[in-house]
Amino acid sequence: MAAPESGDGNNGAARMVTLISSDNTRFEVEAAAASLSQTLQLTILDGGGGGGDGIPLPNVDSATLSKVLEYCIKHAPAAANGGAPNATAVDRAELERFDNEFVNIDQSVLYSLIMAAHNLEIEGLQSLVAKKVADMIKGKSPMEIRRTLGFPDPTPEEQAEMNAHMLEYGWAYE
Amino acid sequence: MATKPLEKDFLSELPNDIALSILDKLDAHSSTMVGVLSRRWKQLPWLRSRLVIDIEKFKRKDMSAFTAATKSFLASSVMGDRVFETGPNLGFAEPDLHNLFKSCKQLETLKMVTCDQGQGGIIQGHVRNSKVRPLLG
Repeated sequence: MAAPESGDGNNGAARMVTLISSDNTRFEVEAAAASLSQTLQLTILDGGGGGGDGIPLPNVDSATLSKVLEYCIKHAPAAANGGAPNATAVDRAELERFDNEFVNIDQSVLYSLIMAAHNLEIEGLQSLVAKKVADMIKGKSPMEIRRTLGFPDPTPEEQAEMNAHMLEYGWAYE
Repeated sequence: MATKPLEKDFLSELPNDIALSILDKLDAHSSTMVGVLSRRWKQLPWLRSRLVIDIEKFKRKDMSAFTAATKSFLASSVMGDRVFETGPNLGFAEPDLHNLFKSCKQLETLKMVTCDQGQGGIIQGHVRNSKVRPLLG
């Protein structure tokens, strides 16, 4: 009936919030995307992060935060649909493709992402990075696991421990 | 025989709950293999309250390796309420079951999925010392 009132913000541009990384870079992002973080969700619901204020994230540097937000922005529409039960197969395949590519990264970046996903409590991302690490370990021998994860070659002492482990858990080596 | 801390690497730095979420995505074999990397990772797999040991993952499809795996799981467990699931299609004879119960005194639940225990259909375990409670199903 009545024309929508302007200025209320409901029908206009999506609400934006500002996040501030540990190295003081400001990121402006849709509230819906940032709310994928359980940690941020309450603050945002309370109206935080808007205007000039910004939400400081002292544990997340800008490189990591920009990567995290890339994930959140991509996943926000599906999350808004309640896990997207009515998403098309194409949408799901696209998200899967995105996820696979997203974690195809250096281990140092992966580590920062794991910690950020944990601190910010972003469930989907936590699960994604955990799966990535698991895939790096799956089906490998201890030596292969060491190499994959960038351990130096074992010292004689460590080699002895590896041998002892093999004796103790023989069933796992068969 | 102290385990020397390994070089700094990201596995060592991860908090326990993240480490456990990684282990939850690994089978019993792989999560045991990670244990070779550090003392902490050696203990972690056994902190899980639920572990599925799938006989299909064993090359030798008999109970000895399976029982050894179960024993490893239970030997260093610090929490109660262990739930234990076998994988499908595990065939075993009654003495095997007896050995399993005998080895695993902390086991409280044993769920067997499409297991074949030979003729008959009654599983009789000598479970005097075990904590396994009868389950329906």
